[in-house]
Amino acid sequence: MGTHAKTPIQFELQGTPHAVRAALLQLREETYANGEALANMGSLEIVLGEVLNNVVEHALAGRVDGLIVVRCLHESSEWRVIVRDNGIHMPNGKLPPGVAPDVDTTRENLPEGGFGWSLVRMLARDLHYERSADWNVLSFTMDG
Amino acid sequence: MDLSSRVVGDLLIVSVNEPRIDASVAIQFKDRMREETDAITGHVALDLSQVDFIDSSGLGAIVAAMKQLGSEHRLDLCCLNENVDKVFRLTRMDTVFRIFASVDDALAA
Repeated sequence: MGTHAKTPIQFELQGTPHAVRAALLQLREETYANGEALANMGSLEIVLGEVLNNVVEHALAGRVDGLIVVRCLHESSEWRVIVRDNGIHMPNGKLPPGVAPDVDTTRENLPEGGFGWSLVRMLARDLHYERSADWNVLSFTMDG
Repeated sequence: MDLSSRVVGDLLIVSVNEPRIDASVAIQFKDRMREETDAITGHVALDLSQVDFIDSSGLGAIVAAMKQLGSEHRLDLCCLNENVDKVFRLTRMDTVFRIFASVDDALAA
């Protein structure tokens, strides 16, 4: 034990739903290998899944050269995560408000989507988005 | 998307034989649910005991599967593991579905 520098987990993926699934499975393996399987991994996987799926469905929609780069650092009981992608910018250059869809409604009107950003905002903190050299850069922190 | 089903009494129990219901399989899930529940006469219980991850697309697909059953057939859920349960609670979808700890509890309800 001691103060050795932690090695971040980094991976790159293409902008497809199957690549997102593969990346999340890889993250599980790597965190397990580092003995960090219990460090709030469930919530991290939920948040990363929503963030990455949003990148695939919006920022990289219709692109064949879409690329996503993820960096997760586990340190001081926190996950610090940075997600970069080479897709189009967020609408108005800002993160979506993430208002949870209303489920107090009739069966026919129940929402089948729109939950992604509300989940992210409920589970992650210190969300920050910026545009840097034609890349989207999203960072956030979670307990870990 | 591997689903299987069995009838117990007037309940159709559909088991998801997959570890994940995510954006990459959400449409297949909805289509396979339609096939599995094509000839139902009663209610349906979805056994999620083998599922250890669901994202918002998967959640939406379960809601869509419930809607496509029609209002006369209920879709209950059972055997949610911790991460799956968390997504239902955070989105408040746990107030929409009847959720049971086990298949037996769903049968007894």
